[in-house]
Amino acid sequence: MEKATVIVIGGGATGVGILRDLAMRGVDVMLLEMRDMVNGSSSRYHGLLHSGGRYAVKDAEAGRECIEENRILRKIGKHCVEATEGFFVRLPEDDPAYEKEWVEACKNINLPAIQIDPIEAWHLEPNLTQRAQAVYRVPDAAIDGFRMAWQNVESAKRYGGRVKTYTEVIRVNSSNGQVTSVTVQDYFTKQKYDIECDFVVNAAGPWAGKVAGFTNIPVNVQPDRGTLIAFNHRITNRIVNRLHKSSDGDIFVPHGSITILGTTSKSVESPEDTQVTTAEVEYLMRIGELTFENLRGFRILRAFCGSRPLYTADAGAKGRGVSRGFVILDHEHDGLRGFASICGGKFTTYRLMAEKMADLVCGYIHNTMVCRTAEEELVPDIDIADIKEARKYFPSFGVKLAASRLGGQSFKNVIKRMETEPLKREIVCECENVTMAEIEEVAKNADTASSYTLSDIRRKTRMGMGTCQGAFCTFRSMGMLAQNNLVKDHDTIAEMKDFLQARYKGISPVMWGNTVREVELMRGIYDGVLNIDGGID
Amino acid sequence: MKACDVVVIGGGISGILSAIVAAKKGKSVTMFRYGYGAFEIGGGLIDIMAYPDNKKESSSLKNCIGTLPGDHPYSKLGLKRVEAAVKFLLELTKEEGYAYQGSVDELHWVPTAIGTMKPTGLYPKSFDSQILKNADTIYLVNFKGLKDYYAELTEKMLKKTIGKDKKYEIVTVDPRMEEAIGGRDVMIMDIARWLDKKEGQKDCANQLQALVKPGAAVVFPQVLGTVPSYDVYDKMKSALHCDITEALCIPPAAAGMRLSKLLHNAARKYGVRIIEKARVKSAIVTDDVCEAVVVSGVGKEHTYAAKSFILATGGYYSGGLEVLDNNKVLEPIFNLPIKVMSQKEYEWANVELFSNQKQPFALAGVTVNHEMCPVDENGEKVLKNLFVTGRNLCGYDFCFEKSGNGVALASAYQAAMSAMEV
Repeated sequence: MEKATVIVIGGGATGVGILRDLAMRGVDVMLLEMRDMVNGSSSRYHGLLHSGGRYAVKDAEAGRECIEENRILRKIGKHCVEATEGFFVRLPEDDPAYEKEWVEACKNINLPAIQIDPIEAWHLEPNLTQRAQAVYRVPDAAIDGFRMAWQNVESAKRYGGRVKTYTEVIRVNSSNGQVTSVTVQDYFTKQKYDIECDFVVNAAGPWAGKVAGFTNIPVNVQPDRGTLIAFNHRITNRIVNRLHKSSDGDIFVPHGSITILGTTSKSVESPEDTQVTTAEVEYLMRIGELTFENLRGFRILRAFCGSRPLYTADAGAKGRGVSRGFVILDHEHDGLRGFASICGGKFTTYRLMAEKMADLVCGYIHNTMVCRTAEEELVPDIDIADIKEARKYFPSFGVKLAASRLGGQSFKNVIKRMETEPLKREIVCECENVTMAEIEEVAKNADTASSYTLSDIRRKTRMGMGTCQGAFCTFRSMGMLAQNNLVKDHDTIAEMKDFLQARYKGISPVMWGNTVREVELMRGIYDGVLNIDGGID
Repeated sequence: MKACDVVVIGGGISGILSAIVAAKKGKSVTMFRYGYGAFEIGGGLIDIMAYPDNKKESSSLKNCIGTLPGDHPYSKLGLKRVEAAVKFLLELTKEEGYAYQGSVDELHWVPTAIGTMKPTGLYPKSFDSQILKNADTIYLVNFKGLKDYYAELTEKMLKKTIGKDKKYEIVTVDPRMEEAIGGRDVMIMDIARWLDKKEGQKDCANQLQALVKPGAAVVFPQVLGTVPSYDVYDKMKSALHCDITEALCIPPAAAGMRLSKLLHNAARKYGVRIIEKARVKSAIVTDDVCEAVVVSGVGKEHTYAAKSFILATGGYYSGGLEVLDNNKVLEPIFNLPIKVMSQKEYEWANVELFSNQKQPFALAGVTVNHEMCPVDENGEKVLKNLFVTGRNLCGYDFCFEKSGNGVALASAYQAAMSAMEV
């Protein structure tokens, strides 16, 4: 039977943080994820590394945690963070009394909020409304959720941490009140087997209640759905928050060439309910256009949503009132030793959450090492010589992007491929500048882990995430996999359809303007020309 | 103000076809265009109709025209007019030395780059899946460095559609484009242009002769030249002593370019005036008659009068129809009445991108009568000297049905006929 001292359930930010922390302390740890890494809430949010400004008034503790973690993540995860800074903007609609309260609260949590003239703010961000009454600069930043998680995994692996994706835990087994193993099922083969362990960490985010349910221990996690819109433009260079009591649709976050507007808050039955409606988009647009009046002039790339794992001890509480701080539940109190759940929290504080959980676990397994995750960088810096070498083969503006998304060793491998096999320099995804060498690296290299589907490749390379949303690169990626004999038993047609459907899911609620154009091109190619749905005479 | 008999707005397949039809009958025709239509997407085939209602049951237009909804352009046109348009195209392509084949009576199946088969209506003879069924050995031709075609992908699915019992072999031709490899990438058009040239044809044939045994079937990507001629096809066929076919590829499609060139040659021959980079901005209308259109060219605006006008600006893709918001569709030049099939939000776009249901948004468009004259909800003519063609029309989902260029052809032919009677 397979064995690990500690099993971590859930491949989101919290799970990978715990994996890394424990691995760095020398613990034999394995992470199990039911689908692909970062497939849940950790990638379905606006990608904001909070300065704490948003929580300063309501929850000073959370605000303080944010600014401290913000400073740490900028340091250890600099390849995932774009230090854009942020604005808090008060509009005429917003309560001036709240501004005073907020300025005071920021001081209290040691968050530098520097007031600037609204005219100056408008000069810096020309799309911003000129109706702003007050503007403050805060150290918000944009953070790439996918990359952050992958780099945590990469770091953990260097210390012996293990990861299995597409491996769903279906039972937590115990004997005499002590956890002994988990039973898992392989998503593709449906095969079931056990993995022996001493401790199980439930870091399943909005699925945490379901996982705890295997042991009949109630963990009251309420999935709270947040909807977001991705625009195909960098509308603002800075993060822009409304300076008012936290509400819907009041945060804009730029990422590379796009901008994300979010979010909403709605209690849902299942975290898997991720189909956005047009009404939700319209609702966000109406709020968003107060901050950026020309918002409707920008093409929407797609809309998406994720579930916050809001925890409440009381089954009655719902929505924004529920704490976004985190809790660690040691289920020894519920009569099961070797099982703990971590609930709630936010992406910005994932490292701190992981540290606290790892402390608890180490207490049980008699490990006395201290946490070092705040000191050591996630991935080593890219060798400057590699960057130089890469410039020979990569489209020049793609070099840094590729370097940071691939990380040191993979980047080296890709450059090597391009050097020795010029054919692999072909650009498969022109929107995001992804080369064949890169896709091959991700698909082939077992160490980068587990790319089973085109969507898995997308999450690691950004293939298909740009302007054309997969219209050209779906075919090319599949062709490339076939050419390199990497499709194994895949049904190539079904795979392409699944991938395009996943892209369309985010597009279908925003079917107007140039977005319809893009869909017509996509349909024209795959349905009209290639008859992807049929064609058996 | 400049004047002519017929003004055609739009330079895609329906625009240029209607211009040719009218010009061939001696009318003075001016065509304005801003883009080049979807020639290089559609791939040069004239799909007429294959799936009227259900993707699992294919049917020729002749067999299903009676079952189509009343809003469908073919229902408005009727089979006879479609047949007349088809006859026109077959004769035209023959005259121009690149004869198309096919009819409204039967479907012709064509292999694609992903190994599926696609049913079409009118086609150049270099597209034919029948040869794959007849052969024992199928060779799939790859070109070294070529992006956008992967013979391994074609092969994988072909084995399912044509059968595993045949021998499949991938053969690679080197087009000697080392300078492009690892640089700007080798595209389908590069190979097609290489094969336009005598040296390229010779080199390719020589390389293949060493790899391919006679009597087999050979599948090429869509690269057999960019000009409307069977020269490359004939040469390869006789050099290899094999049956050959091209496979439909993702855009840009060389065969679309061939059709585009053929139609442009014909348009020039019959004296169509083509004004490039000309965007028609608005129309000057008196009561129910269009007097003239205002055209924005390079830095200038001009007004053009005509006896009749043909609208061929296409759908969403080309900007002939704009979606302002869910369910709100606009025809931006004449602001013609638009029929939207769905009223509710969730009926505007299907949950599945590809399914056995037509996409509601794809069915929105201008309503016309049997003359292709735009009409309002009461069936009254809106502008009696304007005629509407192709994807401007409501009532058909060309991707689902595989009917795009067929509707374009038939409606363009009818629009030209109607325009000449004004």
